[in-house]
Formats: sequence, structure tokens, C-alpha cells
Amino acid sequence: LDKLKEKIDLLDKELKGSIEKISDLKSLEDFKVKTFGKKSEFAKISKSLSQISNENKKEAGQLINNFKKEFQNIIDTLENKLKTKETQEKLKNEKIDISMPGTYFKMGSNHPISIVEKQIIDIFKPLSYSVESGPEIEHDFFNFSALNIPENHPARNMQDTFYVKDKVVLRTHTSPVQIRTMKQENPPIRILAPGRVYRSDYDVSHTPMFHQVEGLFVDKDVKLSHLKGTLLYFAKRMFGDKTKIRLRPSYFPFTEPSAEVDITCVICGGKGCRVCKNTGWIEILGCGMVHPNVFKAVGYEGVTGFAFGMGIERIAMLKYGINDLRAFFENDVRFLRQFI
Amino acid sequence: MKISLKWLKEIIKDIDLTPSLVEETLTSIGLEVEEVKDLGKELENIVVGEVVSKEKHPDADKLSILKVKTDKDEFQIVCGAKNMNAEDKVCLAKVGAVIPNGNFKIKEAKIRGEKSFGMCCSLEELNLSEKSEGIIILDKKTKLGENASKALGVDDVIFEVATPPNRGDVLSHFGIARELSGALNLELKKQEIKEIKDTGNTELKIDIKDKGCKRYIGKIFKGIKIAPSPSFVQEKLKSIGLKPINNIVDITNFIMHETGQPLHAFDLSKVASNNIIVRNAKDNEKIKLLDETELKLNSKDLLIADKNKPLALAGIMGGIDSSITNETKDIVLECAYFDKDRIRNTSNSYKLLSDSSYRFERGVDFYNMENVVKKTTLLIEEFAMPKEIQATLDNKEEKETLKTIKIDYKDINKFLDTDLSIKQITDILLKIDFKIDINKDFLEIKVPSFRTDVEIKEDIYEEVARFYGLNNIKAILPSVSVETSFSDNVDLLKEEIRKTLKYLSYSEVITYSFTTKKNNSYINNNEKEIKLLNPISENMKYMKLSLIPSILDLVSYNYNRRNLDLKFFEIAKTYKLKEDKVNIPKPNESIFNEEENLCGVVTGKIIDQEDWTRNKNRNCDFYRLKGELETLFNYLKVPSYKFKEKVEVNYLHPGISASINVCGKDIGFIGKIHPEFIKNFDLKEEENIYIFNIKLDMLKNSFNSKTKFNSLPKFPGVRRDLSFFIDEKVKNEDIVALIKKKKINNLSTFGVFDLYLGKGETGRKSMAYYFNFMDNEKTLTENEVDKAMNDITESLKKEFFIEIR
Repeated sequence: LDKLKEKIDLLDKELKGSIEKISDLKSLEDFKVKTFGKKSEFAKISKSLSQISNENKKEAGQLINNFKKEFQNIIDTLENKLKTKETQEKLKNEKIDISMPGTYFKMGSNHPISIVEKQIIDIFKPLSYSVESGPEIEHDFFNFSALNIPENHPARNMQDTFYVKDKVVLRTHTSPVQIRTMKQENPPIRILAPGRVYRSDYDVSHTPMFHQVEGLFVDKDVKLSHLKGTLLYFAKRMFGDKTKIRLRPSYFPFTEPSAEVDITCVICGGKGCRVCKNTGWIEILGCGMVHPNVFKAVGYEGVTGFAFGMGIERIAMLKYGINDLRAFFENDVRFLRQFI
Repeated sequence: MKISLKWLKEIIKDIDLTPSLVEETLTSIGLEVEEVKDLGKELENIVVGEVVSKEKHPDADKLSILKVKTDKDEFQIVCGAKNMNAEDKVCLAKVGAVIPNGNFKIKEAKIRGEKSFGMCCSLEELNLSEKSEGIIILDKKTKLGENASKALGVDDVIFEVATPPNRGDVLSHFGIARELSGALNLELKKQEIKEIKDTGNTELKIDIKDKGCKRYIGKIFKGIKIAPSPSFVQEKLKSIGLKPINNIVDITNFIMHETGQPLHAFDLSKVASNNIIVRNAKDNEKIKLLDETELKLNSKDLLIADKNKPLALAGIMGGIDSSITNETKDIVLECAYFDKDRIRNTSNSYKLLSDSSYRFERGVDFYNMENVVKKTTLLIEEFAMPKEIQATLDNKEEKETLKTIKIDYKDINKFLDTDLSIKQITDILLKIDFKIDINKDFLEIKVPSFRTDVEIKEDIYEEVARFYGLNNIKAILPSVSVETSFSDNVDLLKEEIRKTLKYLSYSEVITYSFTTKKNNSYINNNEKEIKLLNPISENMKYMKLSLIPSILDLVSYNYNRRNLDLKFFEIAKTYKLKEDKVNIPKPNESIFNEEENLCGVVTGKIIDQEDWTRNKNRNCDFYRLKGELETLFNYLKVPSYKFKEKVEVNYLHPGISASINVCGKDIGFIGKIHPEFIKNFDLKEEENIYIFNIKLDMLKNSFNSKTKFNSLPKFPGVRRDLSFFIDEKVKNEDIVALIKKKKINNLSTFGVFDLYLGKGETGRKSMAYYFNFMDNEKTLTENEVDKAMNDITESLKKEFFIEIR
């Protein structure tokens, strides 16, 4: 037994000495074979266990086992250490230039008019408005007469109308959708009617086709204050919480009273700048209480209501700071791609 | 309309009226001030100076060196004009002044070696005259140092006011003053109108033969002297941008801009038998107007004539032959009331707009005409020195009655959501000349004659709101409602398409609905196009039959700007005539067809040319476009869509195109543009351009926004691949159909994953398919899958003689 002890101590010293010199995984593997392999000193010592007397066998076995355990531990620790070191070496060589651009996915874009139209609709939808549409080639009755614009009415001068044939026009506003909806449905009515409209005007600030959104609200006891509240809500949602509105009396044949609505200038916030011509205000829409003659034309009784209409291009120009109306319809892809 | 502040102050008592208050107030009551021009401010730093000495410039013959003093300083000025001498008072633009004509700033300067500290101005330089010689020499009594605008009498503020088209009553300084006084609670100056003695009789005869004239007042003045008008009239006319002509013309213009009533004066010697006749024109009757245009009239036009000839186009413009000239001795003054619609019609049909027609179209005050004539007479008497003034002849065909509106004042409060007392309401209305009888809660409101726009209760609500202030009305958001409907399937579909195509790299475009004859002619499927009767140009004469030509125009437009590799889509309508036998359709008769379309175009390379990580050389192709549409349809949950070979669209490549079929109906097409067709759009034949078009109305019915969950399989699946050679004429869809027909056990999904049309292989191609097997009850055994694969292989061999690779 003592001899065995001696041998183990010797082996221990020897191995500990040589393991310190190991610095890579391959030498460690060799070391393992040399240490615990069939021809190793350790194997010899293990074999010699059979020559130990029975009474000492237990103690001797423990000695051998402890030795093995201890070394296995040392080897495992070293192996882990070396593996980590090797991985680190490997990763060091795999370094890439992260400043190179990523694999590119080019997003498309929606037209600013579509985007703003959707924003307007999204503002009104929670207020129980539904979206309605109507034909663009429209009968005089819906575009004019039913909207309290009889022949010879000054308002027919206000808008230069495209004619397709006698009594048939390209709609000059989205207001005919009011009439079509009211003729089809009973009050209460809350609708939005977005779409293309046409006027025979072509210069820096007019295109012969443009886009409007019309709103109509009809019920019992609708008041002027409701119109104002609705517009203030819209203006704040569209242009920010600090936006104020100003109503100026105006004239539209299909509303009475009528007003034009200004918002505090989106550029200077009301202090006065070039965009608002130093007034601090910018006009964004026209509105009013539905004229009794319009209700008469669709056979409504005992209700009041309000209507409003705005140009989408105008809102989009203000929102995005676009200063040339014609850019909307030129469709230069460098313009379009700015509106993701 | 231009309004002068100085002029207003002659009508309103309050002289402290500031420009900003006028601007703010008018805008708040619906008379929008679009521009304010402060003439005094424009001439800032231009003051009255006196020439102390004048010497020749030592180094320039044409220049003089002046010493000019103001109330405080003395300046040396180098001056090019010659018309001044010592002690003359001049307009001196000091350093810092901005000269209105040319908008340049005066700086200290050295002219040919001599220092100059300002400039002496001419009328032209101050924009006060179109052309002038020499500098302005002011009256000797003018105060030194006074601002030039005051010294020249142009220290005025001019407002450009936009008025509503139904408000004839505000088209004058008096009308604007009346509104201002209502809003600001000011008093107007009392207008005393002196009676002028006349001869007591008149040689004039007036015959009104047309209902378009409701009142005609005529008055003869004899032996007048045509001369320039007095300076106060000239100044006022100039301030609102009118050119003074002579005393008679200027006085009639002055009165019109003061009162709103248009006037006209004829040379009496040109009026046969002193007989004015108001009648409709005869068809093709001719008249030569003041501005020398000659018109061919029709029977709807209203004329002022004598027995022999037309004298004037009523309410719009006088004839040149009867106009006032320097030789005129006797005149007849016209103050009339014409029907709005008649004047508007004529004015519109000849595109003739005058200050006079502008006012008649909007309505003048029937009851103020006598006063206007009296006022005019006064001025003519004073400034044209007539030898004889004849009696006024007033011919009324019809009397306008005043309207009365009865309102419960509580209704006003209910409508406006206000708490106004009866007194508050009546105060507002009385101030703008309404008369009111109060009977308990009821107001019986008499509308003044000049307010032709006020007819119903709501008009009164508006008047109250206007002067109470729209900005004092409460703002209340109505509560949401469960009663309104939400029917927006089309809207949702469009929204989803916009979103999906955006993520698939498409840019949305919007093009005009108009197009050219040529662009429509490419779409020759017997559809009838719609033509505008009054197009803006040849390029915008027709409504589009298809979106394709215009989107190709856009490709061309962008190519010219070196924007390549495009992906565009547009959602828009196309328009066609459905029924062309109807002449004048009834409101609900639909003789036109408007169809919503989704159209797209893809050109150039698929991979962005700046992307270094991928192969940049792949061109866009049919499969890419088809795949994108499949992605779209899958996203929209379109149930069963198919791409079919035959397309009847002649501008597509016959071999690389397909029709799109949903639920058994053709809803559109996809394909490569025919090389011959491309050339129509300034694009090269070899350009790689693909398009698609889908009728949205047809897609709308199969679009489904609902998602349904399918439970996941419990057992793992098995995949097998099969590669083979096959006759190159056999299509994928034939193979798919065959395998489907065989109803292979446990086959869940399968499809092609490789296609190789190899060089050297003639008549055949190599294809590879994947097959996924699955059983919901158990894990499949190798044997079962082998057997299924064997079935597949045998079928393909039997049907298509495939050769396994």
C-alpha cells in the first residue's frame, strides 16, 4: 500500500509538472492518452490493485479513484479554458466591416394624396362617419340644382365646369355625394365622401383635376356649435393639439350660414410668416349649416345638419411643406418615394 | 375690390379707425381682406426738402450738385434732373428709403467723385404716374420734413377686399362703411343732399320695352364743359387704381364706388329724338363698345337704344358712338336697375366684365337710386358747370316689395347654440338697417332693400352669427352614434392594396383622368370614349379608357429624368359611354360607365443597383410580377385565382402574358409589353417592361378580410423530391393537374422547385418537384411514402414519358 501511495505521489508530481506546459487542445489530447491510456503509468498502478491485500484494497481503490477524479477535473478545466481560447481566436479572424450597408429592401410609397385622404378618414371614422362615393361624371341635378345652385346662380360662375354633354358635367366638387346619400338613406347621416373633382382651371395654383373630402352630418337639432366642435377636433388631430381654428363668414349656395375655416399657421404657429402672408392663419376648408333648400331637394323634414369640404392637395401641401401643386401629378419617382 | 381708408373715413364718424382694425373686422364679418397696401409706409424716409443751392457737377455735364435741406439737416445730392431751382420744394429720398419703382434702396454713393446722400424723386419713381419728366416740384407752402405721401396726398391705406358673390350691397365704400359700423358700433356721417333747382320739365323720353329693366332714371344736363375732374375725385379714383378721364366720366365712377350704383352718361346729341329705349337686342344686331370691341348680339341681351341704333349694352358697357368726348355739350345721365340674371348671362357669354356689370349681377339698391341721382347732380352742377339742368325722369316698371321674415328669437339661440337676449339680437340687426317689430318672443324683421341676399330665417341666423362673431360660438363635438352604417368594403380593399404594394416596393402614382385621343386609340376594344365639350387642351380632351397608356407615359417621363428600375401602381377609374342615344339624360339615368382599376408597371432590374450584397443582374420578369400579384391575392384572401394563357390584349407579348381569373371570371391581365407597342411611348423596343391591370369592382366581391385558423398537424410530415426530363411542351399546370387527379394518399402539398432548359437538350427540359406527405392520425412509414412516390412516378411516366434523373 505504501508503495502504491508512493507511486501515485510520484505520478501526481510528474503529471502536474507536464500539464502546466500544455497550451493547446491537441497536446491536451496527447496528454490524456499518455496519462490514462492503456499503456500509461496510471493503468499500471490501477492493475497493481489486484496485488494489494484485501484489507487494504478499499483504501487503495479510494486513492486511485481520488487521483483520477482530481486529474479529470484538472483536465476538464484546462480543456474548457483552451476551447474558449480557441473559439476566441477563431472569432477574431471572422471580423467583418459592419459599416458596409445592409442588404437593402426598397420600400415603395403611397401617394401623398392617398396618405392624407386616409388620415382624414381615420380621424372621422371614430366619430361614426362612413365613407361614401359617387360618380365623377355627374348630372347637373346632383352637382348643381339639388345643391341650391339653379341655372344663372352666381355660384356657377365661381367654378368653371367641364361639360360632357348637355346637363352632364365632371363633378366640380364632392358635394353631389351628399345628395345621392340623402336620397337613398334616412337620417341620421354621417358620411365622408372623398374623391376626384374637376374644374377648368390650369395655372400655378390650380390643376384641372384635384381631390376633395366632403363631410355631411344630419340629425335632429344639429347646431352651429356642433360644426365648430367637429372642425376643431379635426384640426387638432390633423395638425396637432396646439392648433386653433378661426371661422370667417363666407358664402356657399348649399349652406347657410357658411364659413371658411382657418387654422393657426403650421409653419410659424400663428406668429406670422411668408406662408400665412403674415396673418398667422391659413385657410383649410369651407363649411356651413345645410341650406333648407338642399333638404327640400332630397325630401328631408325636421332635421338640421352641417357640411364641410376640403381640398386634399391643400392639406397635403401644408402637412409636407410641398410648394408646387403640379408635383402631385408629375409623379417623378424622386418625389413619390419621399412618402413612405 | 379696392377700398380706400381715407374714403371710408369720410363716411364713418370715427377717424381713429386703424388699418389693422379695419382689416380684422372686415375679415371677421365675411369680407375677407386679402391685401393691405399702406402707401404712406411705402414712401417711408421720403420727405419734403428744399433746394438750397444748385451747382454744376465738375466732372459731368448732365449732373448737378444740389444742397437740399429738410426741417433738421442739409444733404448733398447728385441729381440728373434739370427742372429744379433753388428754393424749390422737392421729394427727397433719404439714405435707407426704398424707391417703389424698381424696389431699390437708397445708399450713400459717390457719383463721378462727388458724394451723394439721397435722391430727388419723380412721380414715375414713386409709382404715382406711368411716365413723368423731371422731379416733383411741390407747392412752396408744403411743410419741410413732412412725409412725401402726405405732401402728395397719397397717405392712404388700400384694402383689397374679397366679397361674397351674393352681396351686391357691399360693393362700395358706403356699403363697406355700413358693415364696419355694424360690427364696431360706429356712427355714419349724416349725408345731407341739397336739392338742385332744375327747369321743371325734360325733353327726355324713356320707353322700357323689356322686363329686364325694372327702373330707369334719366336726367338731361345741357351746356356742360368737359374738363379734368376735381382733384379730390381724381385722387380717390387713382387710390383705387382707376385712371381719371374727364369730369363726367370720373363723377359717375366716383359715385359708383361711393354708393354701389353704376351710372352711365350718353352724349345727348347722339340720342335720336332724345328718346331712350330699353329693349332686347335683335339676333345678330351689332354694337361697338367703348373699348372698341364689336359684338354680335342675340335676343337675350339687353340694350339701351334710340329709335335707330343701339347706344349701350345695358349694365355692362356703353357704346363708343354715344360716349362722352371732349366736344360733348349735352348729356343724359342714366341710373338704372337691371335684372341680375340678364346682366350675368350677357356678361358671361361675351366674357365682358365691367365694374358696372359686376354690381348689377350682384344686385343694386332699388330704393337708393333717387338719392344717387341727386348726389351726382350736385357734383355735375359744381364741376361741369351745366347751363341747364332738366327735371329727373323716373320710369319704374315694377316696384320691389320689401321682404319680411318672422322668427322666434329662441330659434336663433337654438340654432346657433347661444344665449342671446332679444335686445342683443335686435341691436345687431338694427345696426345694419333691418327694421324690427317685436311681439313677445317673435321678431318680425323687415329686410332692407339693399340686402337682396336675405330671404329666409337661416339668413337672419347668419347675420346674427356674423356680428355676434363666429369665433364666439361654442365648439361642441357631437357624441358618436350607433345608428349610422359602415359600408366601406371598396375603401378597405383599396387601403389593403395600397399597403401591400407599398411593401412590395411599388410607388403609388396619381395621374389625370383626362387623356389624348391617341392614348385612347390604343385600347381598341370597341369601347366608346367620352369627350369633353370644353377641354382645357388637346392633351386633356378625353376621359381615359385605360390606365395603361398614362402609366407608360410616366415610365417615359421618369426615364427622361434618369429614374430607372421603376415600380408604379395606380388605383383610378376608367370611363366609357354606355348609351349614346340619349340626348339629355335624366338625373338618375346612367349612360356612363365608371370602373375602378388597379394598374401597375414594373421595369428594369429587380435588385437595387446600389445593393452590394446581391447579384444585380436579374431583370424583372413575368414570374416576379406574377409572384407579387399572388402575394397580394393571398394577403387579400382572394379564394381561387388562376393565371390563364389566353389574353385578348393586343399590346401584350403574345407568349409572355396571362389573364387573371378569379372565381371563374376574368378580372384582368398581366404580361410583358409588346415591343412594337413600347415605341409609342418614346421607349426602346428592347426595354423590359411588364404591366398588370385588375378591375377592382370584380375583385371587391371576392376580397375577404376575415382570417380563419387551421389547427396544426400533430404528426411530422415527410418530404420527397423528384427530378426528371420531360417534353418541353408540357406545362407545369398539366403536371399539377395530373397529380391532383390521381388523389395520391397523404399528399398534402407539392410543387415545382426547379426548371432547367439546358443547352444541348433539344425538345426536353429538366424539372424538379417537391412532395410533402402527412397523415393526421399517425407518423407515416417509409413504405407508405415510397408507395405514394411510386404512384406519382408511374403516372408521370405513363402520361408524359418522363425520364427520371
